[in-house]
Amino acid sequence: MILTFLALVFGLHIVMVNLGIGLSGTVPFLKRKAEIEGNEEIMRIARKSMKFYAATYALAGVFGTAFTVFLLSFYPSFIGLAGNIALVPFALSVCMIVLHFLSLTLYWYGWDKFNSERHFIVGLVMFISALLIPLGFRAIFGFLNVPIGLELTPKVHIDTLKALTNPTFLVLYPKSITASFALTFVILATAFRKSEYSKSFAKLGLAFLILTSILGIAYAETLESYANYKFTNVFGVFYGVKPENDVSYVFIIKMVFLAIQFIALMALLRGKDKLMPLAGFSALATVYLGEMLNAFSQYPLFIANTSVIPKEIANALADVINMAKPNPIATMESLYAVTLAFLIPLIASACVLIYLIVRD
Amino acid sequence: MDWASYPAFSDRVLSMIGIEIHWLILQYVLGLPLMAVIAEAIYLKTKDERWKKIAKTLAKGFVIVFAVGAGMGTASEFGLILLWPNLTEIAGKYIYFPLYAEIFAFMMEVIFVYMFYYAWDKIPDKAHLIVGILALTGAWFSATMIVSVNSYMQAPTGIMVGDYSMGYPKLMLVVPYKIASALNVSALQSAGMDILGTSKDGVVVALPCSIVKAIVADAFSGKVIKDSVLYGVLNDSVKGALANVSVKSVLDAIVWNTVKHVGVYTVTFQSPVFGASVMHAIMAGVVVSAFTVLASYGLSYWRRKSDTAVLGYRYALIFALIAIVLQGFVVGHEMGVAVAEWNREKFATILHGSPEFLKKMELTLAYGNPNVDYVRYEDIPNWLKPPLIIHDLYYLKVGLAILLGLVALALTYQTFVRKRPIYSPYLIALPVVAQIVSFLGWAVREMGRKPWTVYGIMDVKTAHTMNPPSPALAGLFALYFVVLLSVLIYAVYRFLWRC
Repeated sequence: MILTFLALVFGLHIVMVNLGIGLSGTVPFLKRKAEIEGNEEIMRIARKSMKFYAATYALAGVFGTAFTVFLLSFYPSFIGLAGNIALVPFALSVCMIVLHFLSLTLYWYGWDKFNSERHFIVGLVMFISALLIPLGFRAIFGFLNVPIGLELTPKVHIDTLKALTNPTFLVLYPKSITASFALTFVILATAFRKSEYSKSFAKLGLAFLILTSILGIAYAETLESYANYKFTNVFGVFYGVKPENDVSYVFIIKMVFLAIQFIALMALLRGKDKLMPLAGFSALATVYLGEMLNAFSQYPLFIANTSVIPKEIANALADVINMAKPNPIATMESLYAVTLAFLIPLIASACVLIYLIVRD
Repeated sequence: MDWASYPAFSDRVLSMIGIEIHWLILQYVLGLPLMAVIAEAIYLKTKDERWKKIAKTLAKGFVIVFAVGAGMGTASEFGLILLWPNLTEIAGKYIYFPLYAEIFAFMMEVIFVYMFYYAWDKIPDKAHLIVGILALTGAWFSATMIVSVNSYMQAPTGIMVGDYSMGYPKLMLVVPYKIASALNVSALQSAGMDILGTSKDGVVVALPCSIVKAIVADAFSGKVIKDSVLYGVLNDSVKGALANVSVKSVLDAIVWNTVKHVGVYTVTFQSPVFGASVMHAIMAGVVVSAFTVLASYGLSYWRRKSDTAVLGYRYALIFALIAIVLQGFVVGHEMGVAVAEWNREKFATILHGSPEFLKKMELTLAYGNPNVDYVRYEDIPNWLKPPLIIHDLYYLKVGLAILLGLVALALTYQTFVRKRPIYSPYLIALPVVAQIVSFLGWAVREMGRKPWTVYGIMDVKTAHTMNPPSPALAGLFALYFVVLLSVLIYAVYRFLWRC
């Protein structure tokens, strides 16, 4: 049940922030183009997209906070360890989150109040901060694949520069960014499929999907070399290697959703838009499943490859980095009931909010 | 004691700045929805369009600041994890529930605050009003959860105050029978431990906080029993077998047992200062919001005469007056009584050096008797002494709060009795003073808890990260947040007050 809650809130967070990163990059350029060309249709698309983002960015944030707090409640020692050693990467992301929220506020509420150039600059700040938020977080994810940069002297800490050279991070970060844009363009192509610009979005969506797929293959290769436990859990069955925790079925489902997107986008380019709602759903599902695959393929380990950590430290941390050993006073059925009693109506209310925003 | 002399000075300042910015903003999320919902309810009753406009403007106000408030909330959360990871760990381990429940409150806030703003004229009026009430509920629910954790940090459930020479303050713990059987009871009793009784969960004891603090410090420095204070209070027969057991695992077993005995879901709500604290915090938000709205409508009328501004000004003025009277005479008083009872060192430090008449007045308010025998600053052992600066901060806070109340009273008299309201750009000073008062309140509360991070349990040094940022880096972070706050204030002025 714990893993279900974590998967739910983390998945929702990731899907929404992916869309947020893509929209932060797309809207300022769309608006700028509309202003230069005097194009009302592009301006309509930009404004509507930004309104959606301005009204829902906080939902993405709240699910991220929920994930952190759930982790803290279920795995407090792991959070304590992370807090003690990972100052710089987390601090970078946090500083960018605050800057992003501020620039987003300025961009949305300053839509008709700033002049075009100044507004575009605010949009660029919004975009750049959106790109930098996942930099720190993905550095941590890379570290959780293989703890490159873990230094033991003078005290245990993460050397950020070394952590940034982690091969799994070097692929995971750009893959995350291209995936954000792939998702965003597929969603824009879906939402504005009747617009004359739908084909442009579809082409961009296809380009980013191809780029993401290439980076996905590269990421799998780095996992094979640096976090083989994780790689085997995803791909082992295809090579005849028995995984400890087989999650290949998640990968297969993800590939099906990816294929649907390709087919629907190709169809849209030929003038047929009927499959686009399915493509939009598939795009959301692909991002969700991709993140689940990355997170749970290393279950029950928080750090997939502990071979680079000195044995005595790895032994001392064995319980701390073990997802199968949660906080005993947070694993009560009554807590699960409370969680469901709140989450179900709140997620339903969030859907109503999104419906009200999208409706106009 | 000098405030700077406690450990981790620069990180304490950074935390103070980060959390204060978050608090500065979120007070509007506590107060403005209340004012907006009441304004909308009046509109539904009277159909006077000016009330609808006021409600909409207030809603726009809290939606604009909400984004950065939420961002700063995330920054504060990560700041706690990164600067005070051991505090965060014990919060997650032992008293996680209010933090966990706060997530649902935060979700309520996010969903219904935005729905309140974006669903105007899209859903029926009464449904919209209910959405507003849900947004307000989310905000207050959230505050209640967070303040309960803070209350536990001020006066944890099971804390016992008393004579310092008898080992007080002490903490009630329920030691599992298995652990109790390994302990040398007479050694512990000679160190000040009292046995309060037994229950099905274990032996109920009152352990001096000096011992609790030492065990917690040993646990978070990764010690095993043979290197810890625990070794000296073990029975000789088990010393060999338990020598290499980690202190943290023993601490976990005792505290988990105690929390289960007290109530996993209710432990923080049973803190003796919880009730007063939560009301005091929420009312601070209402006071700050009311004075800000008062100033903004005063400024608005001064710039551009309008009927709505007049109505908004009167509405905010009544709100401000009621809020500050309630905050000062009812809620603030209850808070003071709770501090005098449960945070005696803090109360003694506030009184230290005060003129005799002021001392007698404070004692009368706190205990109902000006001649009561109370703990004096000189009576407090050195290792428990809070910083003396809270004495000055407290009286500055009270002085400014009284001034604010008098100004509200004078403006009310001018507006409703003399019928000569004062619309002036100088009204902008009111929210600034209200914010300073609110900040000083938290400063006295938090600085006055030193040398503890969690009173009686964890000191500042133990809570602190093993890898702190350099003071220069901490200064840079602080500057960064202050600059962003300045931009936000300008944005609110530009998008709301000037439009």
